[in-house]
Amino acid sequence: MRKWVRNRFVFSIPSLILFLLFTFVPVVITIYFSFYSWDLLHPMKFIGFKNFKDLLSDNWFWNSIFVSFKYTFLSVPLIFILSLILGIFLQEEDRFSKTFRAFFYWPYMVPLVAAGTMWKWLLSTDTGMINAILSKLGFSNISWLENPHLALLSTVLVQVWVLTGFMMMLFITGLQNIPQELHEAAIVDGANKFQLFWKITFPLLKNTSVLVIILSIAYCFRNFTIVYILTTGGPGYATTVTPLYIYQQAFSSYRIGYASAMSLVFLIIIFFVSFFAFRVQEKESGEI
Amino acid sequence: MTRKIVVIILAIIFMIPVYWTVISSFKTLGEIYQYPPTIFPKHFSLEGYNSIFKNMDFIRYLGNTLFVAIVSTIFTVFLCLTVGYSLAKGTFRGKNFLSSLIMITLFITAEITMVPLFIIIRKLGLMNSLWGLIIPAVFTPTGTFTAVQYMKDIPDELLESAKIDGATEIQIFNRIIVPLSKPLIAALSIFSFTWRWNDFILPLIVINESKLYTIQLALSSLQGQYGVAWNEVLALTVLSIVPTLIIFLLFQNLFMKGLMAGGLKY
Amino acid sequence: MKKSLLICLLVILVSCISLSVDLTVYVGDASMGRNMSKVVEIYEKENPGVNIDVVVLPYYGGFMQKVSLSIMSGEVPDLVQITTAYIPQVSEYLVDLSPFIQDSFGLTAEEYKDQIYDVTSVYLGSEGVVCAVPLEFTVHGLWVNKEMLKNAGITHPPFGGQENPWSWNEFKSILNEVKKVNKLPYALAFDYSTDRFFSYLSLWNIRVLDDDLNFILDQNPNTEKALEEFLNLFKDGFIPKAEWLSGQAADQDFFSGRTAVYWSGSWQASTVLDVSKSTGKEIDVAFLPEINNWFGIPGGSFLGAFKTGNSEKEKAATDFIMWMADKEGGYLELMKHGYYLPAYEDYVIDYENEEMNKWAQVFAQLGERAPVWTATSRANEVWSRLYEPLRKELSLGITGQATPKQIIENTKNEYERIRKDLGF
Repeated sequence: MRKWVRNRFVFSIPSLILFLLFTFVPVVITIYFSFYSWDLLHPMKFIGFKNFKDLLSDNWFWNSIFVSFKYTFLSVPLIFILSLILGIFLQEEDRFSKTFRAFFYWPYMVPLVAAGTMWKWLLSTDTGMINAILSKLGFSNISWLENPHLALLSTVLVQVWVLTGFMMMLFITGLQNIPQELHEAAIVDGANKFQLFWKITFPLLKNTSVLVIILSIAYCFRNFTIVYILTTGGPGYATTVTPLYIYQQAFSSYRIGYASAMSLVFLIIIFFVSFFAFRVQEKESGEI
Repeated sequence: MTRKIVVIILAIIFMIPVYWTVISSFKTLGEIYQYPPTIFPKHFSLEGYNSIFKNMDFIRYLGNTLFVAIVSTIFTVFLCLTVGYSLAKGTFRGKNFLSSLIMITLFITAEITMVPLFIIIRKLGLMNSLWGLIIPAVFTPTGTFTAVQYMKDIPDELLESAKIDGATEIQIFNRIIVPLSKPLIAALSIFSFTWRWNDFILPLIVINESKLYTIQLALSSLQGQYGVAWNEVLALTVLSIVPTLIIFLLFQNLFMKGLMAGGLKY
Repeated sequence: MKKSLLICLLVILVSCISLSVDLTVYVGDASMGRNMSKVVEIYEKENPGVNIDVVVLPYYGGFMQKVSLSIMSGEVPDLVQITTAYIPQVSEYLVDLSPFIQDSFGLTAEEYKDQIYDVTSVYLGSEGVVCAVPLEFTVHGLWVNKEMLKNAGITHPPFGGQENPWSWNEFKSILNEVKKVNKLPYALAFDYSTDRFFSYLSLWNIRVLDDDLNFILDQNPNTEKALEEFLNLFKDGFIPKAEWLSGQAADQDFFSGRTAVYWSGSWQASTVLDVSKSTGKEIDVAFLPEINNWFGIPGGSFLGAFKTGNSEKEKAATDFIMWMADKEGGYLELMKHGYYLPAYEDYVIDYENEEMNKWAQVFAQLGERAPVWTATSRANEVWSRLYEPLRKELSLGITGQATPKQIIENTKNEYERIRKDLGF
């Protein structure tokens, strides 16, 4: 017992209990479901590995994984760069910074359904604000949400809009943690703004950067509300990210077991990808 | 100076959809449907807002959501600080394993675990109560991970020297970690409030009666089968994003005041 | 002395408490919820011992999840307002109301069902069973922008200058004409909905499922042609592709004036009245075109009581349902508040609105003509599960990723899988 205090395990206990109950156990149950065929309304039927066999030959599932990767790896770099820049610009506690932070964080505060709907009103091909303005200026309508490539980019745009403010707050928190003296000393030594950033600030932001990247990747992979509202996964399956496909299989096609199996496979795939990305990042940056 | 210009331009772009929503919430239903869409309401109208207040127990839903958001935030901050400290500065054997385990769950979509979560919440007797919206949500992998990464930056020497001075773990936590975590606490409070405010899945599966409704649940219920009352949806959306903005501005000031005065001296 | 007084008080208190019953009803639509609440208020005033909580759930992405979870856990609400799309899934969990109908109205189950449109009563259960009572009856039909049609010199049936419905070719040329004359980008708004598609397909007398729930879409020689005609409506620029490719709101396309016609139905009536009032646009109802036949497929929702095992609550719930089953009672109130069409045959309601009264006639005619198979082939779990895959296949047809033949084949494969899942 005393050892737990000494090695600080005791501080994890409250979280651990809640984690097990509400995060871990649901995953275990999901694993259990994946071996059954179930529609919620009738008794479950044990079918062994059939769900996994089926998903191997489900082209739309693999397509959705491809889409998810495109979606995530287009969004995350944009989010990282934009939020870093904004974080640096707004890290001081002056009036300007404190006011303007709200403008960037506000999109994150908006419920996702509302965020998707707001952008849908703007980007709608035939009734949207943006195309209305373009028509007035003499341009023809752009199919923001029907052209497969533009549709994906539109969803990326909205994702970046939603998440940047949140990541900016994380960068600000990290930046404010850097002691003033380090900056002051470097300036005394004759460093210019650029060197200041690359040699001192950025390396000290390592932990925050890792946090931002991992959280962004996770968020982009697990989220489908934006896509659902903007394009319902269309045109065809061009913007159907995996969680959306899984959701539709679970609740429109009433295949809870199959959806669970897909969730598992998806989780394993993205975890491995992120794990490797994380490892590579760790190896490259080494020790501060 | 350039930084201010860049920020202002970006801020304008970022605010376009929000501006659009706010401005449209003051239009009549007919004008909302109009094409080309008007940038400024031709007839300023409060019909969406009136409709909301008339047809919905908005104040009660606001109260419910505030209760859930505030209470959850208090618990969440406590949990994140403790587990963040433990995983960042702890020396127990399963530390990395636990960190990785928590990190994996970051990737799980809430809608998919809806069914298992429902089963568990029911078994624990938390159905149809506001506590059923709080307890399952107070531990968040995102908040945990944020706290861990933040705490990694706290120098070990600080803790070492305190231990040499004879401080107990609790004292170290209360007198060193917590004060140094003020920016983190501010950030976590803002985040947690936002997350609980915008929760949809949990209220959907837990709440069975109207008087326990949260704002998000009420907002989503406006999307009917036969059509959507856009003026109401817009009005309620605007009403629902004002409190989170207020909390953001409040907490920004509360915790970050004075932090930059001389920087972190240690 | 004091003790017995206390016990007396307690007994009185307890009996007072048990006199008041709290019921919950799940509703899947906000405006239905409001109208239901108004009706509930009337009922509660007349029946002070009952409190009914109207719980409104989001229809898409919420309602069926919640209902399914309740059924799975056994903690079901007392009452549920459920649409034709979902009633097949839950009917086995609803209380059989026939004994109560016998008591309240002196009618057998079949006599009661005879009062209702055939296309609606098929959802109420097998012979001798009434698992729910009908609420609103919906019928598909066309909404038209009167001014735009007039500009193009087009008359519309039945009250716009001609009695008979357009033929399919006439309909297509009308769309072309109205688009050209009014310089519109499109002519027709069409919701991204399998039911909407079915209302078109059934005009060709093409069925997807037969009475035994076998897949027969591929057995009709006209299917490929019907599919091609449908896809061409998009390809020729009559219907905005965005509606089926990215879920663009079709009602918005119509109400904003980007299209002149809206293939929709009676449920839009109160919105049409609102929009007309605030924009001045004059909108009217028209018959759907005649292909092999002409009619509007039915829909609607029902009110049922879940089997909860709590006899006191079930009694209170069924009492309320009986009041709603009385077409002159609660039912009439609901119909008038919501501008809904009644599901009882030959029942003309005065909505105190000239337009609505006229429209009700048109929709009634469209609904009366609908053959029963348009309802029976959809009143089953197979159709509920085919809903999403079928409309997805159609959207692939619009992008050119699937030919009509492939659409039929892929839908058949999906059907086979559903059949296996359901185990028959």
